[in-house]
Amino acid sequence: MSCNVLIVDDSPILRKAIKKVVKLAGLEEDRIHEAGNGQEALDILELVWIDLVLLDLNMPVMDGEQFAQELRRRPDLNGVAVVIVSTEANKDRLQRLRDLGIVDSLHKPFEPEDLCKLISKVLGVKQ
Amino acid sequence: MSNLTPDRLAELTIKALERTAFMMADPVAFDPGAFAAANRSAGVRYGGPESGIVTLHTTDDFLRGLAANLLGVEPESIDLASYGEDAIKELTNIVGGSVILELGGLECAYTLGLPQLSPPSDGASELSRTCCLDCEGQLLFVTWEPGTVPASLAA
Repeated sequence: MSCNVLIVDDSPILRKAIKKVVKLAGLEEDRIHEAGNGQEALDILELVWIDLVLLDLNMPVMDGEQFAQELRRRPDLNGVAVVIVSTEANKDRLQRLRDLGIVDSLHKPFEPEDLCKLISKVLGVKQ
Repeated sequence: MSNLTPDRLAELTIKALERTAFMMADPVAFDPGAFAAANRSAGVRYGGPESGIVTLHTTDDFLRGLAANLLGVEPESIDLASYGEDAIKELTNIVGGSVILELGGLECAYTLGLPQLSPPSDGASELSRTCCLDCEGQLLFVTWEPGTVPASLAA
C-alpha cells in the first residue's frame, strides 16, 4: 500500500505497538512516520506528504486538539485525514474535534483488528 | 459520588492488558507483602463532574513483560531504563481512560490528565479501592481514589 501514515503519540512504546498494527494493515515500514507531539507532527508534515494521521490527544508541548486546529488553519494541510487514537472520552471535546473534520476515532484500549479496519476504510483500501 | 468496585476495576484492567499487550491476567487476593514490594508506580488524575486519581503499582518484572509484549520482543531484551517508565505510564493512561468512560458512559464529561510516575505507596488508606491481578506470574495493583484532587486541577 503506497500511502504515508503518521503516528502521533507521546509514548514511544505505544508508537511502536501501533506501528506493528499499521504494518499488519499492509503499509510498508518506510511509509510509517512517528511524532511525539503535535509540533513534531507539523514539522514532519512540512517535509512529507501524509495521507493519514493517527492522533493521540493528551500530549505535552502541543496536544492533539491544538494540532487539529492548526491543521485546519493551514490550506496546504487541510486535506490530511486524521483519526483520533486516544483514551479521550469527553463528549464535548470529541464533538469539537469532529467539527474540525476528524474523520473517526478509536478509544484505547482497542482491538488491533479494529485499527486495521479503520485504516483500510479511511485509506479506501479493502483488506 | 460514583462508585467503582475493585472487581469492576479489575475487569477494566484485564481488558486493557488483553487489548493493548495481549497479556492475560486474573484477579487474586490482595497480598500486602507483594504490594509493599511493588517498586514502580504511576498515576493519572481526572476531572469533570467528580475528580480522582487512578494509580498502578507493580514491579520491574511485570514492566519488563509488559514492555516486551508491547514491542513484540523477548523480555530479556528489554532495557527498563528505556522502556519501563514509558510502559507503566501508558498502561496507567489506558486504565485511566477506561475508568472515566466507565464513570461517564457515552455522555462522558470527564477529562484525563497526563500520566505521571509516583513514589511507591504504603497503601494504608487504599485497600478498599484496590484490585490485585496476577498477570502471567507477576502482580499488578490498581487503585482508584475518587475525590482526591480538585476537579479544576485534574485535567
